[in-house]
Amino acid sequence: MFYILQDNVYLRILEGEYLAYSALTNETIILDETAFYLLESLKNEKCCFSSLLSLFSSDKASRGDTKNLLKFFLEDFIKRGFVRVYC
Amino acid sequence: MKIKEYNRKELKAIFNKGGNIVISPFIVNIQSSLPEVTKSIECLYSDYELITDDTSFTDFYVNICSRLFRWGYKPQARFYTDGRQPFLPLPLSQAFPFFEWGLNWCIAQYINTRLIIHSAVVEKNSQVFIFPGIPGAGKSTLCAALINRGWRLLSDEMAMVDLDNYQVTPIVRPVGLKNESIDIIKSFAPDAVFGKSFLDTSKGTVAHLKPSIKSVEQSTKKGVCRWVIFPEYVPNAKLQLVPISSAESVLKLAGNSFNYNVLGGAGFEALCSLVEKSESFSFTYSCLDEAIMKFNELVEKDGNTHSVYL
Repeated sequence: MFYILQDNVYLRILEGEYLAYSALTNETIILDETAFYLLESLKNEKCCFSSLLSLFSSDKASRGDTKNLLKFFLEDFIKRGFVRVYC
Repeated sequence: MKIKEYNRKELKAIFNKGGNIVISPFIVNIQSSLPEVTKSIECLYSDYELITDDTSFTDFYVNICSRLFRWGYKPQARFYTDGRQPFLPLPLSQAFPFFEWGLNWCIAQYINTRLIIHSAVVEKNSQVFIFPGIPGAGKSTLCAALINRGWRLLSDEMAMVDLDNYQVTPIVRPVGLKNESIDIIKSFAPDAVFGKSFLDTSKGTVAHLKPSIKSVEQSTKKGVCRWVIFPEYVPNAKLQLVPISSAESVLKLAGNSFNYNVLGGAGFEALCSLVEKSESFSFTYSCLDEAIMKFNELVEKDGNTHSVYL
């Protein structure tokens, strides 16, 4: 299965694992299924998925409530092991 | 005509002006008046076609030369491609490995019509094995051992994956071996043809193993990747072949790719599709014969590999 979540962001499901790639940040990550659905629901709230991905490997300063909310979610995902960061 | 059909004097004259060698899928124009370069090409590329007319399209122009005024003091080899010099000079004695490394760079730098993964690639019974790995992982040693036991060489350096059908295009060239690996393969395959050993390079001692005629003759035959094996040579280790998930395999392959990031979504799709059609393993070995036996088992039991896991 292959999805394009939005421009330049791709998702592929391989043997039940969710692989996401952002051509904007050149990051490839494995998402836990739970994380995927949470991210999907965040996307429906018009959050930027690629911005989300870019937060994985950097300490970019977040501005505004939306980004703070996303950062909170991401930190929580990483702590729970929903998200593995590779590159 | 093949290179072996020319005598040394003719080759010298051709390479002085620049000769087109067919290193499928590319045509590489090599210009060099350095005797060491000509001798090594004569030895290692003897089964390759040399085109002397000017009508063929040339993919890469490379020139290995030396400056005359430095001949008396630490003579150097210089590498040019398309008239540019991308690297600092190396000692003249390393002129041939400089050509090999430089050509690797040219391909990795300029070929973005295919996904390129740093890996050795071999084939048996139409099943392509990709061995990605960082330098020192043992992929070239494994590759050299396999091709000396009848496997077909597709590449010692890179897997070139087509972006439309995800097939692997061969680029058959001499296998570069380093340090202890040279003697290991020389004793493993006493009939193997080696070029000269180059001492004190940045990688230590380097020597090149000539590819088999069969591999060169089949260098236009593409293959479908069936196995992705991440090798690691560990002295005295017990052989281990451990399955890894497809998603993890994609991430590891991405880390070994030269142009994954350049290709964007097309690269991601190609990697995922390649892995989806393959099985991926991490592989620890210390004995070449055991490793080859294990890969032969995989080939024979294709489609029912669970029984051969360790």
